[in-house]
Amino acid sequence: MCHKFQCSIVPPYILEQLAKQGSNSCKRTLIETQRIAKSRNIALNNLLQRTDEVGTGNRIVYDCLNEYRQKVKKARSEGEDKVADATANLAYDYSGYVRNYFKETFQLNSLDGKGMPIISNVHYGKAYNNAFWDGDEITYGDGDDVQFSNFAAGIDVVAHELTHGITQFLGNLEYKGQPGALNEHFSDVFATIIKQKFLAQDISEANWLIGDTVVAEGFPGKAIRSMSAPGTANEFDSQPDHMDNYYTGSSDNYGVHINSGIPNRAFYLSCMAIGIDDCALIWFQTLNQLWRTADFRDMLEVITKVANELMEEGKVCDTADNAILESFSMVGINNPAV
Amino acid sequence: MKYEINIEGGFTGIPKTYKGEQSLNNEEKTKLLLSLQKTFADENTKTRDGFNYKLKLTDHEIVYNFEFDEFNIPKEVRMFIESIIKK
Repeated sequence: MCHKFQCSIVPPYILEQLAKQGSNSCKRTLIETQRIAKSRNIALNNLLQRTDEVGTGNRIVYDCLNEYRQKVKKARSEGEDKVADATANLAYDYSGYVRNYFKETFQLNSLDGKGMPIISNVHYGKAYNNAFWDGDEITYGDGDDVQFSNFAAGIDVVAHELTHGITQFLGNLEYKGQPGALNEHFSDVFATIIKQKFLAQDISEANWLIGDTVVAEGFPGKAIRSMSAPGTANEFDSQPDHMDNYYTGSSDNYGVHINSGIPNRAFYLSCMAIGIDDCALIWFQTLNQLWRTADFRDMLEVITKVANELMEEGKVCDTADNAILESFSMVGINNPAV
Repeated sequence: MKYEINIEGGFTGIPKTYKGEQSLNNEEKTKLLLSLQKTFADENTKTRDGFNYKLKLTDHEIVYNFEFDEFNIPKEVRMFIESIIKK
């Protein structure tokens, strides 16, 4: 017997035999199977011949129209003139600034190195107090104007979220525990660097705060986080500045926004010792070499190796490795080999 | 209906807890509970700085516990949370 629905899994040689014996359904199935195989081979050949298209990190900004949906209405695309919505223009300008920083400093073409489009969503939800990266695009809430204001209006917020995108394509640090805290750390590091560049500030005049421009009058604090003094930015700030106070609870994906204070402080100390530009290069190359499950000690091991390599190439100052070791030691992260 | 809502994560990393009681008419309650009986989409594991919503509802003796992320939270639950935050 050759029922129509069974023939598709019957081997072709059996189908051929049954077709020779006069089964019309098997003849049809045989023809259909050959057609499918042919089109599958064409598709496969096309796939093998296709080269990855390289883009230029074109920006597209969407207006969510205060709905909890992304890409509701296109507001502005790459090369278009300013629009009436100031928030859409800020998201456009700031994402361009961040994109250009990474391209000009590290020759990184957009977030993935292949020029992927940079998609921003503004006016997400109602009085939504957040900004996030979702694997493909960035989304900003307007804030409730009591505790937080427009999240797209903070260059450090934009840089922080876009760096999550870069991390996804480089180290891809998983988002829990110490790898998650490192993921947050790298976003805060490049948020700080880019904010200082944007404001044309020297490290001595910078405030080393994250999110100080998006906190509103009703917020009990001056910012969301502090790189120089973790745990002091606001009344809720529970970031430790040393491994002695490491958070071991399960909240916040086992403390990704909490324990990031420890390497954040090490970064600040390193910048004070060798300058922010050398640190930027060392931290970027380190992110390039880390892996999904890397922890704080792995970071120290990799960052000292990177610093040494860059010193040998004459790209950073010759005290970089010692300065970084000392900075990490001051926050309680020590090299096990020492 | 008694509720306990914990919102964790987000760019700010500041957790928020809302606890109390909300009176819902029959239609509102049915809508909310029906939305919680649907099959939820998987979490988006690539999200960074997204909110995580933990919801505990107590209706008479029955306790409902749910956890959502930004992408699988039912519309009715989001509206319920919004009404609590506005209070």
